Amino acid sequence: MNYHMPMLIILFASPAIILITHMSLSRIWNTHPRQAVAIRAALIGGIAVSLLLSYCVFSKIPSPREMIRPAFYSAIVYGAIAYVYFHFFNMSETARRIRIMYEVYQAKSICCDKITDIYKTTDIISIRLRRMTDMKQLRLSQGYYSVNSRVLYCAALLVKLWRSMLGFK
Amino acid sequence: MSPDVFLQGFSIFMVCLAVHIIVWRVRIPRNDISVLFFIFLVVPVLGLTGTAAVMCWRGVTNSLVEMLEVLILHISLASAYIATYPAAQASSPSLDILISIATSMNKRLTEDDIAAKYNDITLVKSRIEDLRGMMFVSQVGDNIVLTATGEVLICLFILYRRMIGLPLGEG
Repeated sequence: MNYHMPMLIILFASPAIILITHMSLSRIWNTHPRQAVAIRAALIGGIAVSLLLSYCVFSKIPSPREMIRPAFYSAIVYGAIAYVYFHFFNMSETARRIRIMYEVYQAKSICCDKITDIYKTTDIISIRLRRMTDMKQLRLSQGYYSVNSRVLYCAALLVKLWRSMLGFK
Repeated sequence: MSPDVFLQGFSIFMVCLAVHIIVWRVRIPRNDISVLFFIFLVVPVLGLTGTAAVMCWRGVTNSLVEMLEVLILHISLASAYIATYPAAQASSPSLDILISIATSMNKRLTEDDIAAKYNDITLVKSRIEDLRGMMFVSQVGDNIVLTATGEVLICLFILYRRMIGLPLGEG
C-alpha cells in the first residue's frame, strides 16, 4: 500500500492546522502570554497531525517495523514546520524590524529620529524584560532580574557561538 | 520508506550549511537574507526539480515520490535554519539580556543596569539600516518610506495578526 502521498499531503497541510489551532487558542487564552499560546498551538496541532497520520497513513502499514521510518520522517518535518511557525509568530510579536516597518506604514513617511521617539530604547528593554518574566525565563525580585530557567539562556549561548562561527562581530 | 531519503535530505542540508558558513566567513553579504534563501532554497529546489525532470524524460518515475520526500525534508530543515538566522544576524536583545544577567557579578541586574548597555543606534537605527539594505524601506529626503515589497510584507503581517485575533506585536 502506498502511504507516501497521503503522508506528504498531511504534512503539507500541517501549517494550516497549526494556524487554525492558534486562531482558536489565542481567542480562548487571550490573557495568557502570547508566546506560550503559540507554543501550545504547535503542540496541539502536533497531536491533530499525529491522529490524522495514524488514521490515514500508519493504519495502512502492515508491520509496526515499517512504521518507524515514516513516523520518524513525519516527526522531523512536523517539528521543523512547528518551529518555523513559532518563529514566524515570534517575528510578528517581537521583531524590531517589523515594528519599525509598522510605524513607517502608519505614518506613510517618517524621519529616523521620530521613530526613536515612538520606539524608545527603554521601552524595547522593558517590553523584553516583561515578556521574559511572563514566560518564566527571568525572575524579578526586589527590583533585580535574575535568570530563572536555563532553556533560553542555553539557546542564547548557542546563538552567540553561532554568530562568532559565521564571522559576526 | 528508504533510508536514502534521510541520508540525501540531511546531506543536501549539510552541504548548504557548509556553503553558507564558507561564504559568510569570506564576507558577509550585504543582502544576507536573500543570499541565504538562494543557498538553502533556490539552488537545491532547482537542482532537485531539474533531476526529477531528467528522470521523467528518461521514463524513470518510480523514485519521484522519494525525491519529493527528500526535497520536503531539506526544505523543512532549511526553513528551520532560516527562521533561526535573524536571531544570530541581528543580535537579539532578549538573548543578550539573558547573557548579561547570567554573567554579571551577582547574577542579577536592575532594569536600569540593563537599559544602560543599549542605545538608539544599536537597537533601532541599525535595524533601519538593515531594512534599507533589504530594500523594504527607502530614503525620500529626510524621511523613510516603505517600498512596495515592504508594504506587501507589513500588510501580510497585519493580516496574519488579525487572523489570530491580536494587534501587531510591540516589537
